[in-house]
Amino acid sequence: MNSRVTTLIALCLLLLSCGTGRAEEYVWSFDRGADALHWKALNASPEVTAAGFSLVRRDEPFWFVSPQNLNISPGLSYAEFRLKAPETYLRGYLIVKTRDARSWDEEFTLGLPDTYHVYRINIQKDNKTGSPIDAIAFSFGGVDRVYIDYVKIYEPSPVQLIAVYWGEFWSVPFASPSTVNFIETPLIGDYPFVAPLYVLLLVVALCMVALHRPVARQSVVKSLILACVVAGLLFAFRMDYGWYMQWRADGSSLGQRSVDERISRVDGTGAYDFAQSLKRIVPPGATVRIYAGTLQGKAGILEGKVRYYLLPVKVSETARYIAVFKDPAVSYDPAKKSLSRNHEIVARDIELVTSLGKEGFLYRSSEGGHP
Amino acid sequence: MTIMMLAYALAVPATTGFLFVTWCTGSEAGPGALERLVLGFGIGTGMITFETFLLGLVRIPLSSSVIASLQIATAILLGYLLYRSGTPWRRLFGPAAAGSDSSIASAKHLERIVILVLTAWVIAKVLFVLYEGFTLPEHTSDSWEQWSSGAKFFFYEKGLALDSGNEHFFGAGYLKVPRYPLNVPLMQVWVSLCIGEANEVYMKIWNSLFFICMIGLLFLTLRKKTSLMIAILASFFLSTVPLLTYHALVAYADLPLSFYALCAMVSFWDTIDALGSGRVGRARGLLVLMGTFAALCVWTKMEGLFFAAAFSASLGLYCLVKKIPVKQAMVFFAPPALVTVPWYVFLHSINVPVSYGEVGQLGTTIAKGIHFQVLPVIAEQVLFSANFNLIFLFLTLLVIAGYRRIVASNLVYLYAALLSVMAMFLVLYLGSETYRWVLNLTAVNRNILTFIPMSYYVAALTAGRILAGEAPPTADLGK
Repeated sequence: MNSRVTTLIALCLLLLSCGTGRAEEYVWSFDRGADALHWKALNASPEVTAAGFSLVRRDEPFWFVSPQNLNISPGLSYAEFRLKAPETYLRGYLIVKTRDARSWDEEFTLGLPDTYHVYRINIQKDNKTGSPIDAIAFSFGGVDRVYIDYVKIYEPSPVQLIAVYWGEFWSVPFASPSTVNFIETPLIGDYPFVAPLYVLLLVVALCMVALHRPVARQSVVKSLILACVVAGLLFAFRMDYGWYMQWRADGSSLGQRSVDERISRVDGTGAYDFAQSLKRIVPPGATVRIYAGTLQGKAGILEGKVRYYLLPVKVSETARYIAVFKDPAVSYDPAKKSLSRNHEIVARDIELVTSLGKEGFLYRSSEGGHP
Repeated sequence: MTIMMLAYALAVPATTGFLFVTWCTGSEAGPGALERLVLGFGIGTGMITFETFLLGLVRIPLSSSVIASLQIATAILLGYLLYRSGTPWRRLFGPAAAGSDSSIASAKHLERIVILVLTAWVIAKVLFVLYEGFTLPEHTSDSWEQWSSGAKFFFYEKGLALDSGNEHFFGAGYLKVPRYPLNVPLMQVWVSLCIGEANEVYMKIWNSLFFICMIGLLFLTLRKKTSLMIAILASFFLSTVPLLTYHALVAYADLPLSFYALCAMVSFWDTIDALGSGRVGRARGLLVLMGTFAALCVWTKMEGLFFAAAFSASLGLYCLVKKIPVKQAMVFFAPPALVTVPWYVFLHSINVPVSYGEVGQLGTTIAKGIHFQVLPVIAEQVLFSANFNLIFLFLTLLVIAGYRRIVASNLVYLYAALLSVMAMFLVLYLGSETYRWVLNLTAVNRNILTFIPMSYYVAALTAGRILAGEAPPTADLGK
């Protein structure tokens, strides 16, 4: 056996030995009912069917909480879980709570619908104090049912870590509200993938220069341009793969739907459906006053959306019709026939015309300049 | 029926614009029919929206027939002018004079495979954009808030609501920022008027089409100026710019602005070419074209003023260096004045303050301190983010490698325009409160996006010269 073969075998043994990593300390397999009993579902009902273990939404959002006092050491960095949902685009959250009572959440985008996907999240990234982790929880919104296969928390070996990085590199964050300002950069470990591309570019350029000896200025410049083209092609391949996945996601969740259904889905706040219902009730030529709550802590967005979707019905500060949407600050007093917002009366002598869903109401006032 | 009316809504501006570009480029061999169509689509769209604005000003109720009749009258006039100028029919629909290396037949075996693969990739990308464009409704906040809400209101109002007693005077409550130019909202109004409804999907189809036009224009123009391989590579790389792709699916104004800026740059290069070869008459038409695109930059976004200023400065520099009478270039300023003056006079007359964001007095804010903290953020975004492919590194390498060639040739004037735009944005960020938009990444990448297509064009022209290894041609020397 020559030295090359010996080296190769030694290398393989080394890789195999580091491929096992540390023992997986926390594993819950939910297809076996017993593991699921240790977890607590909030606003959802656990269900075990032939298709697997799932959580069925009862209210919005719903959580799936691990057993408490897990005492996960800071050495165990990754949570891996496998789940499927009938929706995509939506974000799920993994909430991490430490022994020193700090908590944070890590978000992940649900993959293509009705297919199991494996997600891996570094749960120690924001653990600034290095305190042991007490519990984790999943949070979901906008989805009726989520199937969960398993959850495990472990410290990956170097080989496993490469697989994790590879998976992260190819995971596609679908378009979100911030995409219009910047595209999320795929990472390799903690580095943007553009950085290794620059290294590659340099290597390719050097190889080309070496091939075109004797070295001349023109050949160096040509090599650099060609190396840029090669690096640019790799960049394009990765980023267009993202658009390919986006196309698949849009095709499955929007492609077969009517324009109305598509708007309702991309709106995602219920504002479109609420405005459509209002338009059916409000008589022609009438105007509407709108009170709407906050969206992700920001005032004005929900109101703006209702106002936009409500056209051609216009909004007026003096309108007799008053629409209230997802606004907990507004209260109606049937006895006094008044409507208050933040304890200040905003309309008197009004009556409830109808409720539109759980969080939408239409009132009519006898005051006001417009019909 | 809706699709037919949508096709009509697109065909009307494309036809008028096509005739306008043909008239401007003259009867000599110039851009081919497809290139003129692509350029004309952008111009025709701008003409329709500006005309809609003028109709709104004089309180004529907006309708597709009124707007179209003016467009058709313009098309007839342009047709008559072309007839008078003796432009033959075959010139009207004829192909462009191609460059020496522009045929796939002349490519080597490996090159041919690369060209075919890249072409297939670009086509797939175009199909993706079309699919998404015709599927996705309005969905991003700023998109409906800044651009579509006002459009929808004007459509239902059938005018600009300029009666002083109107509670929603000039779209108040719907048009979020009244000082923003109306090109994008009025494009949406035009489509809505044609199809008879404010359709959340079709209203915003312009961006997808501008994206396709941009890729097409880059390919068609570079095929003449460089080689087929460089033309296909440049259009391929532009089509893969991730942020540009996403903007093709929404209704923001940044992509239309970047399209108009690219068109202005292409016209500028053609103008330089014409002036360099002593074809003054043709250069005059091209200057009108360049001026029209600069005007449409102003009519699309407030940042468009930077582009108009940059092109003006670069053109002025060119005239100065080449000792060309400024009088000859004055025609460039007519379209920007034609658009800018009525728009800003109108804003002034309705007491809408005009400033870029929170700039206020630039001098005052600079006095408070220069915001150097934006520099590392910008550097990180242009070099290490996935927004723009590797264009900035590529362009930097090209400038370093081809510095002498650039300075000795007329390419320097294109770089002057590009660098002026970059510099103006940088000064704005360094010296004003808008630096916050860099730090929170809300505007910086979108602003950079507006000059990305120009960057690809300039980079491809430079790479073409470097790869060809040619010395600057005599007509191209900077004297």
